[in-house]
Amino acid sequence: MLRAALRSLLQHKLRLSLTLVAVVVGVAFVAGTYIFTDSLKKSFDALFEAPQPDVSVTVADALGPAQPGGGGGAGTGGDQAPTLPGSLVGEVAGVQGVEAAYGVVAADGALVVGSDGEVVGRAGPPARGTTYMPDSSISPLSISVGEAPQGPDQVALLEATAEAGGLSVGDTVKIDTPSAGLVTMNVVGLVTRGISGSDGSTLAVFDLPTAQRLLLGEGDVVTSIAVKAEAGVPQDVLAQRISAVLPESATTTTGAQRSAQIADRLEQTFQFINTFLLAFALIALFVAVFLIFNTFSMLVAQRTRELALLRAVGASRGQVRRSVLAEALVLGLMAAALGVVGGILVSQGLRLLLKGFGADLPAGPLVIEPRTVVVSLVVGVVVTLVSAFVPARRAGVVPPVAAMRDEISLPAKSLRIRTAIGALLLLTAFVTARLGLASTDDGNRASSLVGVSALCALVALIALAPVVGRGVLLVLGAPFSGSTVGRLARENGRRNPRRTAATASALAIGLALMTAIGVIAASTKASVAAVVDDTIGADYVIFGVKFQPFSPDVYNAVKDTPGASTVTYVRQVPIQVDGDRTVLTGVDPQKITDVIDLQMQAGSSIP
Amino acid sequence: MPTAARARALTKVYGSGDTRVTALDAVDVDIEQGRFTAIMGPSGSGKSTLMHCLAGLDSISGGEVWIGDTELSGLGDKALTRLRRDSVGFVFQAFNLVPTLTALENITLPLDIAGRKPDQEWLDTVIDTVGLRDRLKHRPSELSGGQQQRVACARALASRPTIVFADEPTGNLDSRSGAEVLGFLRRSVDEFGQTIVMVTHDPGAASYSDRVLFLADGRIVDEMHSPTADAVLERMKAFEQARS
Repeated sequence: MLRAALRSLLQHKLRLSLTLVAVVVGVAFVAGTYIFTDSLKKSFDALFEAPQPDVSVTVADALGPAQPGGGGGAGTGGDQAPTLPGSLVGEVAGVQGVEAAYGVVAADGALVVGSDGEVVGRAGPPARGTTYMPDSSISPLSISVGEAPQGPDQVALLEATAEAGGLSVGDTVKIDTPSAGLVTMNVVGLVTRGISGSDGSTLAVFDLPTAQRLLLGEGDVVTSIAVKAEAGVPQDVLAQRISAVLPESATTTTGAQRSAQIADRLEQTFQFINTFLLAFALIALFVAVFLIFNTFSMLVAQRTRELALLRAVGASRGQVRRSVLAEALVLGLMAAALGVVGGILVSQGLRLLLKGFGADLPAGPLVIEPRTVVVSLVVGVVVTLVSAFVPARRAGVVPPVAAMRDEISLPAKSLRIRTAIGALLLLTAFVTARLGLASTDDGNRASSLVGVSALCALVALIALAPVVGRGVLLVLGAPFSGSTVGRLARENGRRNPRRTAATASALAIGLALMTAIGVIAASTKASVAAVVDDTIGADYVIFGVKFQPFSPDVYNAVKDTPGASTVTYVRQVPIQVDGDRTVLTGVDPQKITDVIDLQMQAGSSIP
Repeated sequence: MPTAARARALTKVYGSGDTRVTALDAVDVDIEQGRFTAIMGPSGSGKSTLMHCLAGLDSISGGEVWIGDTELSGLGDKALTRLRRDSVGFVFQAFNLVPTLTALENITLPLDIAGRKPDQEWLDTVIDTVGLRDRLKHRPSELSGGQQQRVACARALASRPTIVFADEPTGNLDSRSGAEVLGFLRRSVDEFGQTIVMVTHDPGAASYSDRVLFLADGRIVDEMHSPTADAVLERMKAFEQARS
């Protein structure tokens, strides 16, 4: 019995393998999501082992993520990074349990000019400048080629930055700096970032006095202090002791806390990838349900005589049903197993893809948790079994006497219930869509209502397909009904509307989903374009390179350009209001409304 | 003579209203144990329906049917299935072998379904009687029609059923293969005491039986013991004339 079922699988290899593909793709995306996420989490372990300061002292409530070493800068950048007095370094070094303390300067706006005369790096990610910490046990940066920068004309570049700019050790390089303008430096070394969670930013590394002069422009100030603990002194204990000597404006972060912050940030960044992958998995599995249902329905119909024979010689309904389900089970297991393998490919592909976009993920081994395998197998098997359930039940009710009849026709069931359900769902879809579109003031309510509507419409479509299909085929077949072949083809499609509909449904769902994605993309593009057109009346907008602020001289130079009727400026700084971070924008109130559509909501403008 | 199966006032009606057809009209029949019974009749006489109803393959509209000591009309699908599995063997006109299974696997299929171990000695006897020893590993598609029907006969006998029903077993075979199959059915009655009911419209096939029942318009109209092909043919001709 089981043997017959499994042999039947082998006999329909080709047809089943096509069905298999949909399940494999679905499971691969599920497994891929898990493997990618698990591997990422595993690679976070490396974050905790990589060298970094045991305790960092930073400005309390700094706006923007102030990051010592290889990290950040001040949010919108270029504006003066918040600083601590350099004298604090000595005080911190004096705290009991501190082995060494180093002043660190880190700021945005160090634009490295490549050998082709262009600024290195893409427009988005910041251009960072920082100091090199001489102690390799706590420095997140390590020298890979050449040596550490020393003196006012030496710089080390991040390997990726040097490569992108066509620069190497021994070259001279022009760097545009926030405080000293364009300077010419000698490249003496290349550095790599131990840990990063980087986003494709460029990095130039100087010694402390040079960094202070070029990036901050003030006297002896630092943006953070990196502390190395004496052996045996716990990070949190040391952090507390240091806090005691700090002014109110400074705060401490332990190495462990920083690692956790980076890991957190990375995880949030990649959350959207999970959502995206799981959406794809859902689509694939949804389509798979239809394909499996259809394939098994056909297999059952084809084997009616064989199934009837089994019933005649003593197989119970349950046995026949189970034999079909056994086929589905084996198919599901195979698909799920292939899906897990596919998941490895998906996760590796993602890694490469993200690398291509410039995100360098922490390296780590591929992690395949037992949970990944179990979930993938369960998903693959359950989807296959559920889809094959109805065909299996149909196989069970094949009357044994069908084995004796030459003509085999399964009783055609009325489409009335199906039509009623479909009509009801369609109505629900219309009502929820109207309600959803009407509730414009509540975005959540609107989107969930429209979501329900979409789902109802889709299921209604599937339910009504056999009813509508007969009519549609009549119309579509009309041009061909002149020939016997055309009439035969048309009537063949109309003869078993359920079968025709099931075949069409898989395709229809795939198309519906693809169309949805296309419409969403096009709408987003169109509405962004509309917003830009509506609000920005300016014909030209001048941005600094990498959105860095630039000198008012530029404004003065542009202002008197012949043909320019209105020229005005905008300046933004990050601020904090009642604990919430936002951006304060400075404008010329007389002119700004000429170029940007601003509406006064309340109050009045200062003349 | 004990009976292997019998029917009393067996009635089978298809459809309703205008399309109502009475396929069997209060048929009384006794199938004697250890004998070879043939059911004959023109197309539409109800001979196949009679067999389906006797074998528990089809539901009945009225009357009573027994196989052995079991009354069929009161049984549910499960009990009917078990009855077919344990007490009934089938030979079909279209052979109806499972194409994916080998000859041997097809022969033991009813036993596999029942989850029983075949009685190896009996199985060997059956296989040798049908002469399929060297074909056991072949798939149905690799066997001739006659060989396939012999596999089907072996399958019907393998579980030692109370009764074997054969539906036009030679209908799809050439006369030589047909004779082989009929000879085998005859031997299984003579040598193993098997009870066989065969539906046929071929007087030659009917001549292998011990007794022929003639069916017309849903009733048993006549019967003949120890038939010969010629005598059966004559009788059939007489019916044709009587009807026209």
